Amino acid sequence: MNTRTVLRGITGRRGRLSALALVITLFACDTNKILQVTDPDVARPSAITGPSSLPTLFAGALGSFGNAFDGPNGDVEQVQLSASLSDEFLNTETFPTRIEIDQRAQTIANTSLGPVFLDINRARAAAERAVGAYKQFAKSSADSSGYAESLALNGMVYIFFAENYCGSVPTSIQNADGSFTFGVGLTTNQLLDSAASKFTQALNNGGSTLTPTIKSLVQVELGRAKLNRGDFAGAATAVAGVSTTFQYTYTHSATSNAQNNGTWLLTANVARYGEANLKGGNGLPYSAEGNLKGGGVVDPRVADSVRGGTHLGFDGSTIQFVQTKYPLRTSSSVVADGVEARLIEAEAALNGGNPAGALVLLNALRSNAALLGLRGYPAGSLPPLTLQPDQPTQVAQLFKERAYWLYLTSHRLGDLRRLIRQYNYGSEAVFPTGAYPKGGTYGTDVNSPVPQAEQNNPNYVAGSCKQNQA
Amino acid sequence: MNIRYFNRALLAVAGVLFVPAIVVAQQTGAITGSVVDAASRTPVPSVRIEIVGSPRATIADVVGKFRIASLKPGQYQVRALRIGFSASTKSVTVTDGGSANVDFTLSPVAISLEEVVTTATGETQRKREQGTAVATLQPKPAELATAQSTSQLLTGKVAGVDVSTTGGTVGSGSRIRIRGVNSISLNNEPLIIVDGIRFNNAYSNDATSGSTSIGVGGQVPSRFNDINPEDIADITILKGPAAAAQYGTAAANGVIQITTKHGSNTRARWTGYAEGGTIQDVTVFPSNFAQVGTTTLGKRTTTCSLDNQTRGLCTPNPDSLVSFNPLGASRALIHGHHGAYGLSVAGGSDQVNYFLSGNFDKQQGIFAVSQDQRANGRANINAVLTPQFSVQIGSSYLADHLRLPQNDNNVLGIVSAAMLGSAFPNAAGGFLNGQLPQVVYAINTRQDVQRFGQTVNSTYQPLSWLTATGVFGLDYTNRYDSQVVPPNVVTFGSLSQGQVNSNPYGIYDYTANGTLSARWSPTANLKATTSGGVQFSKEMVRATQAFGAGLLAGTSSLSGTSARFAVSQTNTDNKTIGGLVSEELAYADRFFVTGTVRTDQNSAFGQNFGSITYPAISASWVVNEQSWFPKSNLFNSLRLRAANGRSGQRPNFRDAITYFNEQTVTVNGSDVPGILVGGTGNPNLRPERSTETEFGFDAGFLNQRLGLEVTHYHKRTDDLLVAVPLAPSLGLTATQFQNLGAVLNTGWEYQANAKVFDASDARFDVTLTASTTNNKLLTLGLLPSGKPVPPIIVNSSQQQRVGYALGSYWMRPISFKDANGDGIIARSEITVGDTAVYLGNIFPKTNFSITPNLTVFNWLRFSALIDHKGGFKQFNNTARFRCTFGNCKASYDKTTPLADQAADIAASGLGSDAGYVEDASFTKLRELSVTFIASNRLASAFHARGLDLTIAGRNLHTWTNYKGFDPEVNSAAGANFATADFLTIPPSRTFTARVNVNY
Repeated sequence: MNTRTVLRGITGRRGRLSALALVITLFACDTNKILQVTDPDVARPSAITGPSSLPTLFAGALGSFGNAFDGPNGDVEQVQLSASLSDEFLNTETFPTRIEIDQRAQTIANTSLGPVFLDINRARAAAERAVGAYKQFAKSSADSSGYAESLALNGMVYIFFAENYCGSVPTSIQNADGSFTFGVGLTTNQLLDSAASKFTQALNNGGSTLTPTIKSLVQVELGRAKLNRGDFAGAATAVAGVSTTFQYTYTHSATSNAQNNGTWLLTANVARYGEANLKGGNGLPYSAEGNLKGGGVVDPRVADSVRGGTHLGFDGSTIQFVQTKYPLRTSSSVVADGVEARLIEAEAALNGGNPAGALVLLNALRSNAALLGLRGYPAGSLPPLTLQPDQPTQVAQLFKERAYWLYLTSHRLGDLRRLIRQYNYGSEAVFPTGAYPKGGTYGTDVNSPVPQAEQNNPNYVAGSCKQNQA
Repeated sequence: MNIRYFNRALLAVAGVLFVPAIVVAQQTGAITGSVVDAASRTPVPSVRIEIVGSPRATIADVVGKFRIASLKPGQYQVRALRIGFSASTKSVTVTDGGSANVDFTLSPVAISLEEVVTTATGETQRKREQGTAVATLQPKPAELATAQSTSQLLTGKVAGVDVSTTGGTVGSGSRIRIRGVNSISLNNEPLIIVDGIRFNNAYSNDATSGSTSIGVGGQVPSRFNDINPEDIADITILKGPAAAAQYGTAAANGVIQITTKHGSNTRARWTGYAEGGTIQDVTVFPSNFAQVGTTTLGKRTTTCSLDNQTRGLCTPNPDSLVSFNPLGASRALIHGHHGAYGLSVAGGSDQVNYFLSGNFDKQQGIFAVSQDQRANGRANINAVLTPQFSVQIGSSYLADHLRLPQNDNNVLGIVSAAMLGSAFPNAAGGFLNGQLPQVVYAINTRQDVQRFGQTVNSTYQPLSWLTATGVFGLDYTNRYDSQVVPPNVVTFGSLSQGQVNSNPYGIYDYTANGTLSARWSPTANLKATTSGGVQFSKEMVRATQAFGAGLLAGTSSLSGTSARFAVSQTNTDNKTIGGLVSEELAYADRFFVTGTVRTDQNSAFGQNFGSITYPAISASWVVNEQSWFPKSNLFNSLRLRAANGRSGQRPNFRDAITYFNEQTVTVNGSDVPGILVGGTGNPNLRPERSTETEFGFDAGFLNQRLGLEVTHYHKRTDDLLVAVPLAPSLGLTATQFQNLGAVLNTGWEYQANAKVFDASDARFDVTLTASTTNNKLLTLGLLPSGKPVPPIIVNSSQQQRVGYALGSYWMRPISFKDANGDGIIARSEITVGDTAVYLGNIFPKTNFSITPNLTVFNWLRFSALIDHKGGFKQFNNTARFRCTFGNCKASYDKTTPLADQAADIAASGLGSDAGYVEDASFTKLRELSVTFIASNRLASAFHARGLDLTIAGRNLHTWTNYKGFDPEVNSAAGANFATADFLTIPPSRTFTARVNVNY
């Protein structure tokens, strides 16, 4: 058919009828089919179901926990929040919202705090999603392999809620039909009890999924929950038998930026935080005792290095001592270890009226060749401690040991709060106080608030959060 | 090739394509003629010549000649229309095989009702038929000399259209807002239609839907500026839903319709131009300051600020206030330049005409690595295949190579490294962290765009009263965003490893429209046009983002990387299908009523939502054509108009669905896929609905020497997509979209055109435009609890709060008093409020511009554009950051104003930046040009028909009380609301010399 024929066809009567038919066809066609689009980049919930989804859901739970623990989102997460609000980190940058945290003067509208609280809740929801799926779909022990670990991850989230937040923390859920069930603010003790419940479930029902490592993790975290509750003896019982060299780490990776170690990112890479030294007067001398170039006694647990070149942090004015615990973007983060088990036992001994026994435990750690080797610390780098003369100095010695051994693992803020809550210290005797280096004075916060966005929870009572209560 | 032979060659090519059509087109007649200016008797080019009641039309060529062929024998009404001239209609009889001549003489008028607008259905309407204030621009050569981009062409030209030049980086875009902002969550940029098809208008740093995927700190390119200004025949702006309802779920922000140049059925007319000029930054960048002193511990300090002195922390050393300007010392800023060359040809025969153009444009910005180089080509061919059937085929191509400098909110920015650097001339040149410009210049951030547009517009008139139009087109953008950081050069963070980003994008915008229109006359005076049609559009993105680090020296691609590999994809797809019916009634060609109903379905609507309907109705009454209207030289014409219409905006691609993103997790030593909640969907999600009512009048005075257009609009957007903050305790996402809010925009628009004098040796006309825009967030809706949705935080300085303009500045207020009278503000003399208060809006409330044009002796023409924006604030974050960095003069020098001292201390130590939110009202001498028009004798010496030379300047002066570099800038260019002056290079001053020649 040549073009002329085509044109005659178009302009002839047949063409007119064809055009009319075309218009009618267009109006009559199935618009739903026309409007169908593809979306290959994401997964819909209907695609993540059944036994085959369990490894994916577990990976989601673990990854979400890693994000919330010390993820690389460029903002603080639980480790950095604890470090900045306590005495581990010194802010060396310019972002006002993170300076607020460092200054202990957080507002609920602080735009850095919102994502931190969201991330820890996403970790909780992801773990609960995985636990629920294991219960629903797991038909064999192979299917169930991550069950106990998911419960442990879930429990640890509650530990962070209790240690780092303000004593009124709600947990809410999305129901299967998409609707929401909002939670009420849980007190610190309620949160700790919830955590303990998760760990107990893991111990009792974990079955074959309770591998030695996961069992030790659950024991240590159960001990941590009990310690926070003031049940020192129960805590010691919980951690009994955990190997001193046990470690449960979160594996960071360079495979994707989202897998990088966030503490490395904020310190070594972009100079936002330095290791603090006697922060706000009450802080421990981390950088002085850890400074590899300082000429003093080097404590390898808090070793640091002065930032090269200008030695200045991102703000261009604050000298930055860079932590070396996590020197690489791929450095794995310590979540729980056997050292914490021994420290719990030491604290139980101290509270049981046996300071000498506590000291033995502390010095055993400092001289444990296997442990030091595992950590890469030189033999003899941690000389034995001496028995302190009275209970306050013994407590201070114990808590300093906890601070150094557990440095940058999201323990320090909880410990400072325990000093207030369990050992009757005044908040201004343990937290940084006085003039703030970037201007103004330190605030009075001893925990982090539930952010403003939670006011969209109809069951959450604004004002129930007490930022100055341990 | 000889020009004559070129024309023949083109016709031969077109003939091969359309030979059968030409054969079919025998046994017809033609209409020919010319158009001249009544006053000067000179030819008037670009006049639209149309057959009344028919889709057949043509454009008079550069010497005012026209021809419409392939007309069946009979009598025709021929109408001549051009902006700025009165319309003229003449009757002519076409005989079989004959050529009827009709000449037009048009008079310049200040107001014309005969401008033609192409509607969404592909039909044309005269301005008198429309009940809305539609603006039409035809770029003049002098404007092309002053404007380096299409967005600059629009700046200050149309009432109600606010174009903000956000920076001075060549190749970067501008923020365009028409009649305010409608949406807090969706895009507020207008819809762009070029020759009837949708044109991608992305302008943001968003990997999914933006105009670039690699940020350089602030400035981003705008796809709107991919349109070559040289190819534009006219720009029509439908300002809101009342005018743009026919465009349905895309037009809430207004529509900019661009028609490119077309050929005419005359011999080939060649037009060429060459231009060159300078690009300069005229900013006076402040020096960095330091005060040497002694601390209470006896140590030397260089930050012995007034604040520290009043707090007793240090004592200043005598005569030790030091300053240094790294930018000035380094000569990092250079004199940029630009050059452009272009050639086009238009011509044709009775059956086929063509417009071909090619342009090359190169700009070197004020930094060594700020460069843009473009080559454009366009071919528009119109073919009258039969007297009933014509086709317009347009093809365009753009190759753009853009290199962007690091700047704005960027630790590696050249300005930031200087302005936040040292007050001492150290080894690093005073630049922060030793980031010397030549080091940062090693970062090669590029965007290479190849854009191809194809349009097919067909018109088929099987019966004298029935017309079918079809528009089919594809706008395809092949975009390649890349960044290469060579190893061991830039030491910040991990950049010393070297790294490569490589992000190819394929962006497709398809348009397919079909319309059937029937014209009928119920009575002799009443004419009706009934139309129905279907419109389909599809927007699709296919992109890959790839990254690698550990770059092998000497390589600059992903192949040379060895670590930290990352890859992701963006695949988005959006489809809209709509049907519309419209009815236009015209009584005696002076009273018009048009009603339209459009219904849309869209793939991004929630699954529980079906379709949406957009009705519109408008009326226009040319009162002065009533017999009873008094005839007077003082008051000549009056048209009243009113319209109401609705249009919408669809949700974004995944706003309505719940989904998981992949996250890679290391489990037992292996990387495996995990999930992370990516979106909390809402199956009930609907489009935003903007309903607008406007009314106004067009009046002519003093024998049409003075024209006045006044319009009031009231535009309310409901079902606003509010990203409702979800309680984080749900562990889902931060927000979920719900249709909750409402926004109101109201305003007045004025345009006055005056032909002040029009003598044989001198003409002076002036256009004044003015507009007011009142924007208010009416509600953010209610939460399930019944409580109001709390204010939405845009950033630490801006919020969306009910009762106030969108994006307004909110901070804790400060006040101060020098209680002890020592000329120094101490902390104790500053009071900071407890809660944030409204400090001002980010968009101008008033816009005003004056465009005078003076022509003397018919060979010398002066033009200018004075542009004023008022009633808005700017966050001078540059000053705030420099002061909190301890770099500004106010920190140390007690001769600085007390307000500056207070702002510094409040920001540095008391937690409020309110002192840096400043009045940003300004008036700019935006454009100034002088054009020398060669006499025919001089032109013919170059064998040309026309020759002129324009000398033009842009951004020549700014009058403002704003203390920063420039009140117009925005370091968050492309952002919906985020607005701040943050270490941003202001719009450059350009001078251009341009020669236009036509043959």
